Amino acid sequence: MNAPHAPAYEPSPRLLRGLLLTAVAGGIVFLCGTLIAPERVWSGYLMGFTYFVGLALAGPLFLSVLYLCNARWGLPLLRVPEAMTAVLPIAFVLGLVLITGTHALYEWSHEQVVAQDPLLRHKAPWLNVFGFSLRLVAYFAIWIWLGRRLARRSTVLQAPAEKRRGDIGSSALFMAALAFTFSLASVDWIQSLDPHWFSTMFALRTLSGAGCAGLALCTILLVALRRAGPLRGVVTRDVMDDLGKILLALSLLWAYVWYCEYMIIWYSDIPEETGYYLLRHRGVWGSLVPVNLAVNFAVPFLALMLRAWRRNGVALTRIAALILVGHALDLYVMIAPPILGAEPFLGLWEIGPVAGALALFTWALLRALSRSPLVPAQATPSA
Amino acid sequence: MNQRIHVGVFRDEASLLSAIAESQERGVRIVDAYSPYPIHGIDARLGIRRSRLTIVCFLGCLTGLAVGLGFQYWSSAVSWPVNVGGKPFDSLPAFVPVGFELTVLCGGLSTAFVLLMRSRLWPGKSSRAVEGVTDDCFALAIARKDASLPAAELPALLERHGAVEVRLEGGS
Repeated sequence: MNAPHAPAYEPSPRLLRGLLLTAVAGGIVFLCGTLIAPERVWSGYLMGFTYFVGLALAGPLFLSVLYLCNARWGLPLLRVPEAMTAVLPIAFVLGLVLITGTHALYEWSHEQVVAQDPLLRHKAPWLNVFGFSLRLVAYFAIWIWLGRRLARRSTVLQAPAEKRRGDIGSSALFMAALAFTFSLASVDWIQSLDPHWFSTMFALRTLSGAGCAGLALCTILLVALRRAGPLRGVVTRDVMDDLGKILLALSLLWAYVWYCEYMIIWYSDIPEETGYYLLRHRGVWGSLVPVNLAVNFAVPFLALMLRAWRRNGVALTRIAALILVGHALDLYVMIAPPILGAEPFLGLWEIGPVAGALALFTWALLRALSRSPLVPAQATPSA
Repeated sequence: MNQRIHVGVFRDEASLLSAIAESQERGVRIVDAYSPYPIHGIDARLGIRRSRLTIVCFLGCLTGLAVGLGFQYWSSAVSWPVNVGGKPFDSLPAFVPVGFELTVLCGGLSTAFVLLMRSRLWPGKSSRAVEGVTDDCFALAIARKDASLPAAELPALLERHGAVEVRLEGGS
């Protein structure tokens, strides 16, 4: 750590302008889509929104893992996950917009449909528009409150023992709250697209996917900041090696959970549960499944086993980028089939909102990153 | 040449690292360093070559996976096909758990056995390692490179860095 006071990062104005323009273009496509092809554009919006929220929540998740493990190697890296946490309020605004799209997306939001469907009637106390909106606000209130608390920890000046206790307390609280609220949120937002279907593994699948993609984004940013200069000497080859290993572990976790969910449903073959996979594992959707497994698991898993690639910025960035693309595909296979039906389709209405949401996320992230020095003062050896 | 090895026992990581640093500065040969847990960057500092154990682990894993999947395929699709819930005989999803477990088992066991063999640790062999280095102690074993350094310097060096105990071993 030879760069005790890395200067604040300043993203190039051209990059920021490009991202903002993409976000605005995505927004315009979305607005046009709500008039022309509401169902498709709302499914694209839901993909972009869940991708956005997942990346934002990966920030505080990564922070709490580092604090709970007392991972000193990660202290100089805290700013990136902290900046991801700072984007959560924008995710909340996107969530408020989602509430207006419930009728286009969710079968259970139509009262006539529910009235004729005993199972949906049974689930109505949970799956109704008022409850959906109320819970969405509650999730974000909890995430923003606890996330901010956690993101502030690196600036708290206390005696080491007290500081450590505070770090652990905030992290443990966030972890416990996230496990509970994220499970409910992924049922509300994604699983209820197939309201007859249920799976207890579902929340873990979405959470591990989001965590993997979030860490991939962290890795890309850290490697880029190393190359650009501000984090040279901080993000060493050893740090890249460690990031690569955690990425491998998370990719493995995602595949493990994916398989656990699939295997149990495949084995028991109960109509209510199998319907979910029948739709997704036939025709062209079916050919996307091995691609999904390859891009999110097999290729990163094998590639990250090579030490030389983990320690090489270019290779590590490519693998992380592959995981980010894979996460989009994963969300597509989760969200689009109930809306698009038997055949997948990818057009402006799907790509526009997702690209816009990701551009908006990156724009907000880079701006948050430029607000404070890149290396927390306490992470320097002298402090 | 019969060389005498001085072993210093330390109570914390920092003392061990500072003793290593001074030994290297003064041209003392470091025979080995012992720690109850892996210390970040100590491999590079001691100039230890990268372990080849990962190759053993990878090959063990591949063997386990091949045996696990191969045997299940042979037994349930070739040798004795049994209809289970109308599933195809060669159902890969059903083979994955056992394949996975055998991958982990073979990888883990082969790594452990090869490690023990390479470290020449087998049942009945008495270890000359310092007691406590698998628990709460750190140890550094050093020896003279040549006669240019007075022999009394070595225990003094270890004690300067907070060695709680210094022992003399008449090793090779």
